[in-house]
Amino acid sequence: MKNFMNKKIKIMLLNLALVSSLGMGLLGCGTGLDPLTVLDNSLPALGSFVSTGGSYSSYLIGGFSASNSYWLFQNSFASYFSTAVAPATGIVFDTGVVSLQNISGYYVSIIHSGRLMSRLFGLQVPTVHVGDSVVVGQTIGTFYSGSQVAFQVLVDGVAVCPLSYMSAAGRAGLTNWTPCQ
Amino acid sequence: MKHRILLLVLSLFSLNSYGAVGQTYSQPSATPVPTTSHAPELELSFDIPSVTGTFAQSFNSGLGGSAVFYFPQLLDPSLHNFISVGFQTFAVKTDTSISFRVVPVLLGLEVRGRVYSDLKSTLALAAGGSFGFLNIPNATNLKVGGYFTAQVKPGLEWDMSNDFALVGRMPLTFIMASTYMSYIAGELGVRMRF
Repeated sequence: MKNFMNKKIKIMLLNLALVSSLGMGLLGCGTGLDPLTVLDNSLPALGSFVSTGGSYSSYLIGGFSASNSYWLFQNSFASYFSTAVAPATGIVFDTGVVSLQNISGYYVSIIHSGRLMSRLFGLQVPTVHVGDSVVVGQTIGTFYSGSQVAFQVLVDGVAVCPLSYMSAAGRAGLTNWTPCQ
Repeated sequence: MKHRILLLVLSLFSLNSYGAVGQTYSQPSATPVPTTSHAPELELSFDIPSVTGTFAQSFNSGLGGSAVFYFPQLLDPSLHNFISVGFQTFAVKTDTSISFRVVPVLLGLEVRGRVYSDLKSTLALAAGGSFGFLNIPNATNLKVGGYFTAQVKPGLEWDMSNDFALVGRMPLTFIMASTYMSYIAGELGVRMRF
């Protein structure tokens, strides 16, 4: 009887180990980031969305306001606003053709946490797809030369002025204009 | 004459026996038989989960459910062994079209104690693994994670009959990997004995 009970206890412990390892064994599977490392409550700082950095001031058309839910730039110099990069690590949520006035091409949306999302408008065909993991500074596409470009930040699904959510490096180019009104 | 007396005694005894049995059946709910049966049981519930802790602001609550199978006791008969499979859905606040689904698969033990009449209290402890799925519309790649999971589940059950009970529980679930998430759920369901 004692041996019988011991055997049952062993079977139960084995089952428990198997079920536990079921979850742990999958850790890191799928592609790229584990969802829980992305979906937390944080509001990570956003860096520059162009690869070359520098001052955005010369290209500014409009800052964030009640009637303008994004920063708008005139991309007159292809050598400057050439390559679009992910402003922070995240997962590509959405891509498509832009529907903003005077902006042609595509847009890319990236979720950076359970609360924060950024969007870039005015790209050529993006080099990333929905569901891809991206790291900060990773190329996501190329801007059209001479087109307008927009940058938008959303917190809990609502557009906000990007200024409060940008890192020191991201703010470096914000001179001589009012980014939030 | 002797036969008639014998028949009369037998018939009186029979009446008395049936009467006693009838009395027992007429009030089954007043004194339910303690449930020490080894028969397997199945419990089906729906859940309304709510995320707690550091992830609380990242999600809106969705709906969930769970199926619990109580199998015949392996250890002490008063400890009910079970395996449960759950399904919880949360909407991500970044964009509510994104959902995060958690599927815990747990093994556990449950104790039951009588509170009053047919009302019982329950307390279960369970451990196992969870799958986490980040569902992004039109995504080519589904994000999947695997996590060690532990659960504490207090509850109440109301025996409607020997084979059927209504249950209400409030499981608190911890899922742990490189980061940590927990959620508490309000759970209502039924349990059936085979």
